[in-house]
Amino acid sequence: MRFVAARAVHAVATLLLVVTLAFVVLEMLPGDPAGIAEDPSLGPAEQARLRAALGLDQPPARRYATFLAHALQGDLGVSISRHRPVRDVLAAALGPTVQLAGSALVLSVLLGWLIGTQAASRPGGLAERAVRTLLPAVDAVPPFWLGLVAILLFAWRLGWLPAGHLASPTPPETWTALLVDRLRHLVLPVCVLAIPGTAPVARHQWSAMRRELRRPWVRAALANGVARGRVVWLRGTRAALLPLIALVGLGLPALVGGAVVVEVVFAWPGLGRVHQSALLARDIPLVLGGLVCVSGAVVAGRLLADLLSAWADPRLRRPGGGAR
Amino acid sequence: MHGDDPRARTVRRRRTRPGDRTIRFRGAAPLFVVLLLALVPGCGSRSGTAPSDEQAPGRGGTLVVAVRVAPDAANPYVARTHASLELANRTLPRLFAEILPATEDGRVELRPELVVDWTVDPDRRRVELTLRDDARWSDGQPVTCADLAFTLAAQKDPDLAWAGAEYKQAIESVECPEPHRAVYRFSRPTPYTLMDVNDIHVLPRSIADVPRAEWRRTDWAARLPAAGPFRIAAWRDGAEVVLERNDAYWGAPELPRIDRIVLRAVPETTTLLTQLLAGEVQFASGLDPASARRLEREPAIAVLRRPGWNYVYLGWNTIDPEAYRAWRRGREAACRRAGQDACPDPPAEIARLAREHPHPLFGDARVRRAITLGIDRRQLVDAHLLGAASVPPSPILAPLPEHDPALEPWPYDPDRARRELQEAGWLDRDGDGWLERDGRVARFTVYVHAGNRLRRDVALSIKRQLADLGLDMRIEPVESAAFYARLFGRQMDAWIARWRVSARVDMTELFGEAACGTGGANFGCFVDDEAATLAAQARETTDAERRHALWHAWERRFREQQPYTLLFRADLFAAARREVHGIETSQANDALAGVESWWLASQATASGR
Amino acid sequence: MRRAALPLALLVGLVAAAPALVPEAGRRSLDSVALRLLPPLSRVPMLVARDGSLVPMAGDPAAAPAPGRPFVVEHGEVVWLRGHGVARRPLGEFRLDEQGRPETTTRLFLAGTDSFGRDLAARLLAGLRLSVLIALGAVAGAAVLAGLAGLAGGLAGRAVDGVLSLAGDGLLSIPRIVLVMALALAVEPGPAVLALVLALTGWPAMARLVRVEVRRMRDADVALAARAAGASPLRVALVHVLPEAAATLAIAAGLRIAPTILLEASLSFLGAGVSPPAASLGTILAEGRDVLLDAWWVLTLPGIALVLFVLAVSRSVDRIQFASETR
Repeated sequence: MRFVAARAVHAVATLLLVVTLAFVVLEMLPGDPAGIAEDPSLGPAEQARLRAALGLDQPPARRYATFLAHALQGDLGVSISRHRPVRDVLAAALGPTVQLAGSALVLSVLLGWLIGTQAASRPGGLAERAVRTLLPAVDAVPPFWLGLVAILLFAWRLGWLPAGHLASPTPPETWTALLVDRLRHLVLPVCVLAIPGTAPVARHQWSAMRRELRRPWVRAALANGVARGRVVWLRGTRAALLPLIALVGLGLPALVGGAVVVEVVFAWPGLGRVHQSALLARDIPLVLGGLVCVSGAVVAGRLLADLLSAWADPRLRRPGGGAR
Repeated sequence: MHGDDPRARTVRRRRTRPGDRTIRFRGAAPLFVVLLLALVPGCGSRSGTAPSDEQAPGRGGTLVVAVRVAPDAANPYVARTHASLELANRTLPRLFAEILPATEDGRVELRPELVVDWTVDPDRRRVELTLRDDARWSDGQPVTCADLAFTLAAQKDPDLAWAGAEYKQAIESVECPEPHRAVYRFSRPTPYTLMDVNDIHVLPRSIADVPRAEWRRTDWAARLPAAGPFRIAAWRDGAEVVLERNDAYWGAPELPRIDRIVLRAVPETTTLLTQLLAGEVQFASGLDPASARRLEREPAIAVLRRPGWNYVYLGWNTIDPEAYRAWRRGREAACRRAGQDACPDPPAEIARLAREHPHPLFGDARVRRAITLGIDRRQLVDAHLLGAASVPPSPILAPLPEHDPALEPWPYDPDRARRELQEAGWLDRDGDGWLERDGRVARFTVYVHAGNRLRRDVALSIKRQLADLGLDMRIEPVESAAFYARLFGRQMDAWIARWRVSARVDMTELFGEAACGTGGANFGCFVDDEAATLAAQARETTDAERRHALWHAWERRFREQQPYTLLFRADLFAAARREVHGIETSQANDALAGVESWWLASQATASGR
Repeated sequence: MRRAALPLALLVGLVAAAPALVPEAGRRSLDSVALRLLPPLSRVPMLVARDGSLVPMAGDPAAAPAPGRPFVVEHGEVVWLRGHGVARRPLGEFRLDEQGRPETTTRLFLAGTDSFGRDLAARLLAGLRLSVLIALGAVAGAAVLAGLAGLAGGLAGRAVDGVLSLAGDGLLSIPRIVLVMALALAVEPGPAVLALVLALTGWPAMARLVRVEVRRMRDADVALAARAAGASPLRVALVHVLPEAAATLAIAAGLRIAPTILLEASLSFLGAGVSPPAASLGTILAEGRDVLLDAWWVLTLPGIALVLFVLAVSRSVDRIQFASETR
């Protein structure tokens, strides 16, 4: 229990730090949010009124305090560029991003796990050669470039898949057709986002499994007549799971960061697009709210990873602590 | 309509049947040109063959429209994007549709929508409108004069801080003698009376319970009833807006012909073009020239080209920066002593500075002229816009009648530019390639938006051309907010920016002395008595011909003085798949104009393949 | 280890020396109308003007002044192919050969041209150079910060360690691209600023490694013995802890070079990176995306160059790491 409490306090402190940091950075942005000063049709008096209406006439410290106080009650303020509560904007964008990043995460972990384990269990095989030569190249591909090339190839030349958006403009009648439509739209962006994430997972799983397979218990199990496949896939995986969890936890922000680019390329209405457009529009409440949301998820994810690690490896639990 | 000047005389129309799109005129002169929904001969070039309109119009279907930036609000009075205005044109009623022409011989036109009859008094202090009696909001309420009164109150409300409020300041009141009759009274006559009444959309009085200060945080997509051909069925923020036919529309059930419009945001060019070619999207506007040229090769796509109602210019600060800085220091000290927080520049003081301390380079009309002569603007257009732009001679754009069609832009003439510079005293005395005068090198910095690639590239070309004249131009790309902060703070020698042009010609906003101060748009503080007198006279003159003659004279003065170097007026491109029929090409300011009359030939492509 | 480091040094040196390898003609801008979007390996005939500048003759073959010929001389004027039409100037403006015909020369555009008629190969090299310089600056800055933070976290008290690890966790929990975008927008854009911003956000992961190493060394026998022999804590830190930590840090920093190049490219793509006329690979890629359907090479070639370069860098770093581990 002490362990959980300590991690939770750390998580909350991290989040607070993020909000403060983001607030300071956003205060440094030149000029005015939402381009009030850029609008020559607004006279000075109208500009002042507009600022007051948006709460921008207050000193930064005051605004910071107000933001924190409201955020604690779940109110993240009103987006300047979209004229609606930040919470609603984020809620609308969360679904598509979870769909995209979640699918990509599952896909990359699954693929990486498969490739890595296979490579370790059969040295010199196809999978191992792939890990050695192909994966570093995959690592080096910029996602936006991959996205555009994928559109060029699969949507333009071959015409197999749609080039963007969540779904067709006219949703099909039957729910199976609806599902197929959704999945067809998911394929390209998920693959583009998942492919760069596969490499570290595979590499990691490969080296962890190699270490694991060299241990005495593997030889013992094999000598005892346990099938090799069973040893590799069941026992080895369980032992290599722990660092994998940590890796995924650490990779979450990178995944959301990658989603920014992929969402722009594929016109995907998720959090990444929200972040990008809010930053370019200097919509401070929306950027802050978005960061709280994403960092909150990351911090929570890391907390979960910590707890999962403790569950997978009891040594991490403090004596007397019971992390469940 | 400028040529016929409706502001000048009493206009009396016979009442027309609602739904009847033509207006019969009593009296001799037809005062408003009403274009029917037909293609005007010789209108904006349309590549390939236009979709044939021989078939009988079909009905139903979904039109998918791609936009770069999604609409930001359903209420045009709080919205900031052009997409939001185009959206409101579909859902909210307007008294008239204000139409900027897309052709050489076109006219600015007010096409009646909600109005069936109107009079403007000779003194231009009273306007009487008769509204159609079959207009209803989608919540069942009729559209009446009370809605107009509510809209005017909102427009003028300081709590709303609507950008167009200044045009409404002269309107004193609106009275409602009958539900479908409205009388507007002006406190002073304005040059464009009917346009001032018209701007922009009518709002329903049923939203009166929302406090105006709350308007910028209200979910209007759910709140606002519609009275136009379409209503908002779904609003997915920043991504997609779904419009469905509005059965309460006065044109129903005949119009609209299309059942649904889906507006989708597509930020990437490649994605957009791919979707257009795959049939996932059927109409897209705001295309760049390169994309348009690419699409012209596609048999399934028709490319529509219209002149833009804006221009990109190179602006000059005519005040000596040193003198301004010294003056500003004194001014700020005075403000502090007086305990004032805001310390704006008074226009008269700035104009005095411009007269007494002209900028060493740009304070001299000869230098400004030389720069215009030394920039090959046609070449800029060819290189950066693939030729898809014109070089306007004056900020009053063709074909407005206020513009003199005989006026030619300055040619590219570097030799003459050198002579002008020499006359102004700028010579290369030390042979280093740069001109000097009084020990000062002809060196200046042009500021451009960092985010605008086109303008940055254009600036690079200009830099090379001016280097041939011996002018050392530096380029400073800055973020847009910093750009405006510098512009308003007069911390710029020169800048590249763009103005959108409205149908109201009033050059005092851009070049008047009163606009020299903080908040005015005469950023470089161009002061010229002759131009100012002509503009002031033109504003007050009611007789169309005399007024136009005055503006033509003003244009000649502008050409001599060159307060700006006008660079280009870029064409706008839209693209439609061939199955979209009935697109009106005579209008330049609304890509979806008349969409209620569009129709789709086949539904095979509407939902992808 | 030295042998393994050689390819990396070669690569970086090659890129740093790029301006010397790029012919001057690649930097001078030629007629952009004629040269717009030429495919790779295009050979373009050029007229030579009196002042020595080159006038390219290229464009739509259908618009050529005579079939199969880039120019003709008629009525004392040279008429040549330029984009979708022809251009004409008096004969006297060009250099002529003995027969009084305009002199011509040919230039090869190895990687084609971009939409402004610029030589893509030259731009690619220049862009690669800037990308590498930014990434190296950013990684070096981040490594210094990480070293300082790691040492402080490992050697100073619990309070310092707590604050530093909190700051690191905070930075790591924000998607870096969003944070860097915000910072890059907050200050005037430029390559140096971009490197600084990337450095300021890139240290936490490396700092963790250093901290672990420092902790390990601090409690190692050598350090304990030195302390027992009366060495000051500072001396122990400098002599015994720092060298070990530095080796770890160098490897970690080497591994960061490739991802930093990619991050910078993504930033430029999103509109918050290097602004023209300076061009990194990311800027060139961002410019290429709008003409992707017309000219595949403007996006594809820089992309391939980027992938190959990043791959080469990461392979050499891997080798160095391997060499150092088996040392």
